[in-house]
Amino acid sequence: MAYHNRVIDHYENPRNVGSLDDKDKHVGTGLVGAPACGDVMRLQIKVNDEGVIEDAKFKTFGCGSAIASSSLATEWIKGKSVNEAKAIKNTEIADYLALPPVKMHCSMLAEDAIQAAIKDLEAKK
Amino acid sequence: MSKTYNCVSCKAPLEENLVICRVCQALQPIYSEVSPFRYFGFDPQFDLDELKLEREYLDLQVVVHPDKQAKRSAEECEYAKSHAIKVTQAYETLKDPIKRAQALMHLKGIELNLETHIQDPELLQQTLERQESLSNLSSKAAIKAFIDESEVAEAIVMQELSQAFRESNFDAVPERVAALRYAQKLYRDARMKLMHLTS
Repeated sequence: MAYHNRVIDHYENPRNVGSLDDKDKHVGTGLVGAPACGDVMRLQIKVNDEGVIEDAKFKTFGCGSAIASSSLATEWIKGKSVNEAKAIKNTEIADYLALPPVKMHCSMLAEDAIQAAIKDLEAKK
Repeated sequence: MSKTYNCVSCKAPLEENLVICRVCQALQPIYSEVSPFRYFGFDPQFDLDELKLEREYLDLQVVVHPDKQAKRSAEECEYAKSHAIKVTQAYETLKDPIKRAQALMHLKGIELNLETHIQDPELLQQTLERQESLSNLSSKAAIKAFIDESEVAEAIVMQELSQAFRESNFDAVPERVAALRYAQKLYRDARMKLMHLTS
């Protein structure tokens, strides 16, 4: 089974790896896990007063597809409004990366991470 | 109330496994509804005598082996074939603590699905930090120390899981099973890292 070039690209050169200050009230942190494969994903967003995601960072321990999914997710949500980010579906991530069916759940984890980060941010207000 | 099973041939109660009657040595039909615990003649509990499991497994493997069926009826030979698969499946379920926990929860009517994503902040944060520190290690000695720590951490989670079952605290089981899965992963990742350094 060969991975799509986009998966390999994001795996080898992940975008936006790192962390944001969780104590900042403009920062929302999503921490999600998939016990079945032992993956952990942390995705953080920094949202300005206009509700636009200024910055996004992630840290993922897991397979290449999980890393690629979260890397792509941060790239997509940067510059988007919170509502736009909320609407991103895992199938869009999976389609773009051409993930095989057995790796669909990795894109699901990325979607869950975005939702969790937004929820965390909303809970801070 | 656990159902009693009797030998299809001599009618003696089957007090041990459901593969062979220990009184008349007749092979038994497959009861598809039985748990792996009852199948092996074990109590349905998390703590189990691993040595006894290994012994029973090896013994039953011989009992159902195709080469050992020469004197058996055609019907028993068919039973042996089905048992050969089922014995291994049941053994693998009983041996693996996570599968064992799932089988026990199933008996309680609760399906423990590991595919479900979790958001337990404490467990995930801890795992993330451990994975981060592993990725920063570069010397063999440091990785070996990490492996030792991971082994201890895994043993602690096993104890907690065992305690949850002993106290019938089933609400605590899914979280501890997830913790065990992450502990196993950390241990394996560390072992892999050490292997790559050594080779």
